[in-house]
Amino acid sequence: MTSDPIGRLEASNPVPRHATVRVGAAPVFSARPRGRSRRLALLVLAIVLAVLVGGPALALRLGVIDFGSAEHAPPHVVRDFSTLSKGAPPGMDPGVVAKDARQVRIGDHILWIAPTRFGGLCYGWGRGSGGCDKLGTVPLSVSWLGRSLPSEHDFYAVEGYAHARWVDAVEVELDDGTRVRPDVTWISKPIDAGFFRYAAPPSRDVVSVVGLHDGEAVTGEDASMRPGPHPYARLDERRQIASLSTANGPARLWSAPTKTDGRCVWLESQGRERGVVPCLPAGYERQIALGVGVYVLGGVDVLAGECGYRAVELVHPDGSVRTVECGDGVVFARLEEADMAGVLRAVGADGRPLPTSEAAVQELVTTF
Amino acid sequence: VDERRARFERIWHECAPAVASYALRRTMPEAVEDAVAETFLVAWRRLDDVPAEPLPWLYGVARRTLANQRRGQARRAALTARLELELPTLPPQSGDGRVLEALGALGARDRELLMLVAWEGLSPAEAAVALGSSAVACRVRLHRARTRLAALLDRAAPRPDGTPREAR
Repeated sequence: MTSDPIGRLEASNPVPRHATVRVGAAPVFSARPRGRSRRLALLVLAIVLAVLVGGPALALRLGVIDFGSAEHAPPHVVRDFSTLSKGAPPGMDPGVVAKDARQVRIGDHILWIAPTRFGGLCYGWGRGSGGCDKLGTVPLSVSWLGRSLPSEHDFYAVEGYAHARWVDAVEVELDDGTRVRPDVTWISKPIDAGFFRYAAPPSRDVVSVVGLHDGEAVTGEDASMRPGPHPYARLDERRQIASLSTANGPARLWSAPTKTDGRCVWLESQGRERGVVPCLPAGYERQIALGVGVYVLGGVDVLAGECGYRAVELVHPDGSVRTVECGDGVVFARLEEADMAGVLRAVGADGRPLPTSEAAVQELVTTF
Repeated sequence: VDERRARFERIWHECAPAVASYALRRTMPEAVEDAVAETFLVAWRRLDDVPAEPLPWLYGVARRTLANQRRGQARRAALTARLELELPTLPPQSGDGRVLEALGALGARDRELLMLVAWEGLSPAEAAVALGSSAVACRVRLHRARTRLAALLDRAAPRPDGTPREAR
């Protein structure tokens, strides 16, 4: 038996330890550590009937913070927001309108929010977490706070937001089955979203967060992050987007819209299903990403997955190349023997391959 | 606050290059910056929880961050200035294909453990911190993972006539 597998693995390190990564100054997060005395912000909370300030989705809510009337965010926050666009790679600039940033107080916490040029939002909690939904199509975004890291089980709290276009209430489920509806602070357009924070009682963990509309679950996240092939999809609207013949019958690639106007794509063979592309919100289907697997179905090797690039190339051992175009953020193809013996790599919009995306095709074989 | 900031900066300068390399070994270069930003955002937010030897803990955070990226959850940029990261230029294809192939055939946890030890240079006890398991369990798992990897390498080794021992 090979005597020194670790040594051989060391020699195959794709980024040798002597390779130098240079870093600049430590990032300045807009978080303020807990315990810092905070200036009480003068908040202008416009509690108005939603029909006066919001769209239809906000109409049933009695209390909505009017974004336009809320206190402007302090200069350092405006500066932080504006830096999100500086030096961002193509497609990664959220287009935040930093000068419009506002701050609101939710319980003991400060929330900073700003719209994006594309109808979305960027936000940051005073204690640290934050993010952007450039397009304003993410129905529910949850940050999971664990008691220990790394953790996949013991989430003691959640914080996040739900988009008012699809969600009118948020429900948190605990590990004992208890369901709780945390307070949601809704903010008017252009933000059009509700923000929440919820901490479970001692010794209890949060296992899922669901967005509801008229009592129906329309979106959600769970602690396991294994949502299944098509959570919250409208299966009655599914359509077959491709298929391949195998010895066990057809392998079909399906697509269906989600209840929140996103999209799920999954592979079906012999009555079994597997998500091969994450269910993504509207507009994010073609983000720059390559997440593919090779599935052995009825004696056929099938390449399927997420591809935000122009194409993928299969480079054969003899140097020949087969190009498979990606369409609508998806790649799906039958692989031949030469493909399986080679490597796969993404091809950018400029037609040039991305060498660092290379992976041996055999390495991508995944259980269906 | 100044003490916290000073500690965070120390951790950044000592560990950010290693965390960036860790991410670069596991994802595409364009995703590295976000992964590092997310990892250090967590470190800043949970600075009181960061152990005296922070690197294994940071690897654990980075592992989760990358897993979330792969799961395609809301891909969000941390609310931060763009990081100043200069990644090394890598050869187009490096490493022994057979070794990487064998590594890919292992379970995700075995694979991560072997990579932490062989590529990040962690001891089994340090890898246990990154994986959230006990040092004893990690040693046992490492032994088994090493054995599995060796077996896979043997199977992939060419015969004297140059053909692989095991066709797929």
